[in-house]
Amino acid sequence: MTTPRKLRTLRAAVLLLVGGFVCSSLSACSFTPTRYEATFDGLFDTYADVTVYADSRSSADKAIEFLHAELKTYDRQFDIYNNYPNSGANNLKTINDNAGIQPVEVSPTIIELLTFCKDMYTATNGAANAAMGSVLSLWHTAREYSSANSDNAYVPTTAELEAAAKLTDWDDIAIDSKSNTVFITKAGMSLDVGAIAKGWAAGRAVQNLKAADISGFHSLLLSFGGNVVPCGLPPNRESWVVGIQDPVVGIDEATRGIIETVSITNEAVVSSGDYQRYYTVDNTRYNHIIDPDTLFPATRYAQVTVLHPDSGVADALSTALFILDEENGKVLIDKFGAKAWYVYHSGEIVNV
Amino acid sequence: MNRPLFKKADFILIAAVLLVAAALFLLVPKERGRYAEVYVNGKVVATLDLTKNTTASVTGAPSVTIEVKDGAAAFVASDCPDKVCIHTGFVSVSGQTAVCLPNRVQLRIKGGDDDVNLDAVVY
Repeated sequence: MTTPRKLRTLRAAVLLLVGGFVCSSLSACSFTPTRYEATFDGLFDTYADVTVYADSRSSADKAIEFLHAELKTYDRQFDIYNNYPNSGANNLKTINDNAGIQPVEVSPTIIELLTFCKDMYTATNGAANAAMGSVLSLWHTAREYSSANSDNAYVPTTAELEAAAKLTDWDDIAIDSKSNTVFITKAGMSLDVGAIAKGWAAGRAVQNLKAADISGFHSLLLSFGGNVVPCGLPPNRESWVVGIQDPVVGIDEATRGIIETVSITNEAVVSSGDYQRYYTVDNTRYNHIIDPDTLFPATRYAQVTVLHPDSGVADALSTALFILDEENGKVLIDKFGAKAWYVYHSGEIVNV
Repeated sequence: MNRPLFKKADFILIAAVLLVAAALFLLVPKERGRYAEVYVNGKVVATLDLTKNTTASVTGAPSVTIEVKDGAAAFVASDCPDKVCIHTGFVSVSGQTAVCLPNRVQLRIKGGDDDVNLDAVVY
């Protein structure tokens, strides 16, 4: 026989269970951080999409504002097209403008970035070269002009490319980290950090956000023009899921889908591809990633995606791997302990 | 004398709790199917139903035309010089984006009826 006491306990248990079930299913989101979104427009000539998990709107906003302010200072310092006279600070354009003239005093941040660029130049045997501004600017000018004037579209001449290629040696750049000065000793030489700076800046901004320890802020995923950098983990999940977009399918053929999904915890994911930024001359496509050896666009792959915990390394490697053949690429992948996905124009995917 | 396990009041209580729960469940907006959001200067100017084929210029960026076709969306016309937006093609997976930087227009696929929910997409 069941005693009344046991019955009462059972009854209480059932009631508690029902109540508990309803409460937990309804209010799950109020006890875990809420998801917020933000978009930054125009930094590093791209869009940044930010997914934030935080306890409140105001905590999320604090994290978003912190990240935006960080990226904005890097954007201005690493800009090679504009000066910011009101900021009173020299940037990469000032350094370029004074090539062959005089050393330029810059922020410790610029010294750090350029030191990193030089290290990556050495590590990639010159495949990722931020001192190749002279060559890249010829292609940049040709691409801008030709895109706007398709009837007169042109490719830079081999003669002018070869002349410019003589001005791409890091030995001609004096970086003085004691006096915080940079001097490009040869006139006509210039820095173009486009293949590295976005990743470096995203990584540094996220690192500083972590250190800022904003109250109520839980985690964040920064997608910076396709460079994806995580800060912490999404609530109740062990990783973020990042899709790699199909670089091969033709514009009118079909929808551009996702060819692979990658789970990340603390790694950055960066792609370099030839299918979005290019121009056409006589039915030939010329993309924006220039091989320092041929001085022409790299054509081996449609896209290379790199996964590495250092966002700057991932960015530089994605460009270097896009340029190098698979064998030389493998040496780099092993050296850095990175992971890579190559997509050939045939659609073949190779995971290294 | 055997007392019943539940009194009448208990049933009323359980029913009331479940009723409130059901009401809240219905009131809280359900996850929509996939849709496209169009941003100009970082602000949403249009939300496009991906189940309805349509072609329209963007409010605030009249030179830009976006097409929705068979569950996907794309930039199909723009006066920008680089045409990066058009080269991106049709996107349909939640998390994918297409961007026209010169015109400050962004197209984002959102909503959660995909097999895999992506936090971000590299391209």
